Amino acid sequence: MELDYGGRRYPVAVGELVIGSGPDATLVLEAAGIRARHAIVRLLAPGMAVVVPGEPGAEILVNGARLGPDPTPLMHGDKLGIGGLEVVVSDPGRAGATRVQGGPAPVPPSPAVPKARLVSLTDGREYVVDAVPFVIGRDATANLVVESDLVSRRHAEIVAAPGGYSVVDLSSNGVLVNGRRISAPVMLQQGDVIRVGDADFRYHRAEIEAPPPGADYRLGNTVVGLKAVRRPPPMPDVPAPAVAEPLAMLLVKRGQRKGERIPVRTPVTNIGRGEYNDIALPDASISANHAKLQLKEGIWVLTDLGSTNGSRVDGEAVNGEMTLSPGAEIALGQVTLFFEPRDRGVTRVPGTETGRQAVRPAPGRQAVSVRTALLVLGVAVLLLAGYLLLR
Amino acid sequence: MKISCAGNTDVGVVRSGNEDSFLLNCAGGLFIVADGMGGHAAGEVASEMAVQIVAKELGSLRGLSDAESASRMRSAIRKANAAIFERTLAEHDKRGMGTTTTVMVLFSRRYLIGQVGDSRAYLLREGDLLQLTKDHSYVQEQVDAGLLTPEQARTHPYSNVITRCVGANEDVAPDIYFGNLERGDVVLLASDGLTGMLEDQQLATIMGAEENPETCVNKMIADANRRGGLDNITAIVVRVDDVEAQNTGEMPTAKSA
Repeated sequence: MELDYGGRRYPVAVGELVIGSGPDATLVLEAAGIRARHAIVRLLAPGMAVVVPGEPGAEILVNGARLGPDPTPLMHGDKLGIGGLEVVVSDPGRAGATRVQGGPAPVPPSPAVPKARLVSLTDGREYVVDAVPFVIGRDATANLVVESDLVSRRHAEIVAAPGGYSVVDLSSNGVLVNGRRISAPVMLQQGDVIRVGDADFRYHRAEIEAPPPGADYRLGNTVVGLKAVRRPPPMPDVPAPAVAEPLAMLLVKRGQRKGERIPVRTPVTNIGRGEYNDIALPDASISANHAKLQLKEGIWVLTDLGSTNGSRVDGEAVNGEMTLSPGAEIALGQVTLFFEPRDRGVTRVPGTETGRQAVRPAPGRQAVSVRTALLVLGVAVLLLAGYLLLR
Repeated sequence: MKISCAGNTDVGVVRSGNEDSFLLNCAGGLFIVADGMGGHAAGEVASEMAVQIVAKELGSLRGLSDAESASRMRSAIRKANAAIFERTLAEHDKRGMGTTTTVMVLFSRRYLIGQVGDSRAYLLREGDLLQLTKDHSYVQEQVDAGLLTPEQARTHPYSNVITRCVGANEDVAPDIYFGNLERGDVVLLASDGLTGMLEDQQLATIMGAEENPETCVNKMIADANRRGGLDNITAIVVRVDDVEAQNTGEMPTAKSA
């Protein structure tokens, strides 16, 4: 066992190590509220240490939890909080990838056989079953100390059994596995819950059976509805859903996201301060549900959803629906957006980003003017031919 | 109807908190499983609200016709939806919270189920397992439309997307299912932490083998954890011991599990 503080390591030898501000402290901490002998760390056996307050009323936090007057076992990775300073407990024997910062270069972990673990369902702490028998009980020398009057000094033992571990009841109050009191040693299965006194521990076998394919992703993060517009489902081997080409862009000209170009991906897009909107604009002048942008039969319209500060298009207040032309300026409260539809081939002139003049006529309209030119030319040819014939 | 029932929930192996809630009212014949979502402790708020509000709003269905019961079920779930949605608007840290809700009421040899989301109800009858509810999920809709096979659905990139949820929108449309029960039937209500970890065949085996509902529930939860326990696991098992004798009335006041 070692204590790490300020980049220095303090080995905990058999006997005790004093943490405090006084002369007999091995690990000297100086800050307001730190006593001369503030905390005492005792090594009970190799790899097994407890911490106990050195003076009545000395406050010690272990991983943020305040300690009582009784000895508390320390585990590899525990953080002791003393007078606002942090001391980290490490056990070189157990340190794998989680190495304390500032310590020596990590020794590559030996390809050790994975060990079974017990995880407390109260505080989530993990206890590696690194000895057999592995004793659970109230006694400070137990491998896993459970402090409770309901717990016997040696309450239960985890012992090796063919293909795993069994739990044996040594107590007067009984050991429960998955809610049932055991009367004989029980072979532990992955996920079993062992109850000792009023503390529950989940048993984790070294390896677990494989979950069904895709379960990891499927159960990872349930979401409601699809963010993007629905497209034909991607091929099964595509790892993530593809993002649809935006239907339009909103360039923020005034407001918190100024300069940002926000894509409009769905034909119905809700805009507001609420995060659940398709486009969330964090501005106090915008209502939670402010406006709705819709593509209706090829025409973009903006609807004000009864917002407090109103919506305007090109300076005109929106009552009911208002159609949007390319380059329209949308004002929602104090936020101004420049509307750039993408769905009908409207393009931006490179280099100029603001103002209506930035919008070039759509290719469709270019085609129209070419047709007009051809028509004029045709008429001219006809007139010329007529003139020649009549002559 | 004489039934025996048990239910339990478990945080699973991976998650740090349990966002599932359930209600087990054996005497009243009312069972609810709700699987909440939304970070920062909002998920369990949503699922707990759904359970409490639905139980309260359902009240007694005694003497109601099927149509009236269905309408009561719909309105109970919609009220829960409105209350949760209201909170998502009012409380900053509750944004985006919501929950699945699967409610089963038993009355005079029949079951009535109200369903939103992807928690499920199953019926085991004479060894055959029947899924009573249909998931409100993107992949389920694609399977129904014939665009995906159930196998593809399991590993599809959108397999985590549900299409209906209590509390996500202003209103919600629950699905309603009715059916008759027979002696020896076993009904399972479960969150996806169970149904996503165990195949239907495995559920059927456990439901068929374990006579005692409590053993059955604990065995299923332990098996889901054994395979990785990737999500919170909730299971309610109801065994129909007799359809003539009675220990199940119709909807006394519900108490939360």
